[in-house]
Amino acid sequence: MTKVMKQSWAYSLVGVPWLTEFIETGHLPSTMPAMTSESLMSALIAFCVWLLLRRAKKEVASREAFLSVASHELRTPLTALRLQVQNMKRALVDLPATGPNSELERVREALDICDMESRRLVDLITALLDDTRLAGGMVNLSLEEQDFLEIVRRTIGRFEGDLSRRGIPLTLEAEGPIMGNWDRLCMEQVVANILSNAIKYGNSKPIAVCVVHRGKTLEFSVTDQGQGIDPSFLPSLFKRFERALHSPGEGLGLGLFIAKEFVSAHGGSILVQSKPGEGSTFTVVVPLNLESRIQVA
Amino acid sequence: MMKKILIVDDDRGILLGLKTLLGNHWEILAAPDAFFGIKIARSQELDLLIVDLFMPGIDGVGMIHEIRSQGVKTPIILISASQRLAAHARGLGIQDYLPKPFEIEQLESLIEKLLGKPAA
Repeated sequence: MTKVMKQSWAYSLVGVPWLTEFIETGHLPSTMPAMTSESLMSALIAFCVWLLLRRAKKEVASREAFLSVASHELRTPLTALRLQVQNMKRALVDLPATGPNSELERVREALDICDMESRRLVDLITALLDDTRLAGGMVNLSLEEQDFLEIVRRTIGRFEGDLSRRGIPLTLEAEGPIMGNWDRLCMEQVVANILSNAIKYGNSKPIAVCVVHRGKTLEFSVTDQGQGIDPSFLPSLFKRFERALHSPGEGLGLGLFIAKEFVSAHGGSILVQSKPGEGSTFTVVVPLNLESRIQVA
Repeated sequence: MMKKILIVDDDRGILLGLKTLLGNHWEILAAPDAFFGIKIARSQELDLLIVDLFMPGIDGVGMIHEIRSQGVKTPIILISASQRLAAHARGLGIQDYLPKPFEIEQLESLIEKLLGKPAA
């Protein structure tokens, strides 16, 4: 017994191949070898490990199922809420401007806040659902022939209100169309996550978006002239919840992690160049077709 | 003449919101479930259908199967709270899909792509 306790986990399992098989599958072999007291103890430990693993897997699966269902259930009322806010905003646009302290102006301001907060809720729920899918290994791409430029234009359109409210000029330099096989929703999410970071941390200075076709790949880059990223923060930039841990209140810190995972699923990668105080450039490099995957260091 | 769009969604907030927002440019008919949706699609000349995927009773997929099997060729935009299912539904003979929640501008741009710019 003492001898067994002194052994490391690895040692106690090595040489007893059926134990590792049992931990992984939960099945015992049809013919069991003769047992010594040592292997009996190892078997007991292995059984405990298997029980713990099984429980942990169950817990993780049920947490992911809950998050997934909750996110779906939240999307429907959120859609109705967004539509009604947009409905009221459009109705107010047609009314004549009044004094700064009038009832109408107060309603306009309140509505702008509802608009901003409900949009933030949409972003958070989308990020949570994307993260749940990634954690569950559920990135099943629906590849369709798409014009990447169309994806970029469509996504920029979603941010038009935000850009004009903050007075940020955005330029799009592109040669199009750039046809390839991508999952439209994943790629829209990648563009949106990178663009929203440029808006958030760009100090309201101009943003340049560039889409270039290079042989069998395309390069999509977003450059801002904002605060830039501290070099010590760069290695962990694409990790989950990184932003949430370092700067609480600025979101979940999932945007870049999700973007990187979606780009990787398409066989591409994201590069970042940044200088504190000068701004950052995020460049997505993806193959036009998943079959011609690229190798990027 | 205004082009005619049928919206089928079981959520009242979405149905009313879309009816008001799109109603300035297109004639909007609204159905709270697929049963009524099929009935209207069979009896009227429509220019576009906007169909929700998850509905009690007959769902969006069932409705699309039903009307396509009856020879209705009206273009369809599918909207759904499930991003994945909406994308996979491409094979059903729909023209486009939009995951919920969406901005009204996104839907308007899809409609304009299929029906052209509405008359001012």
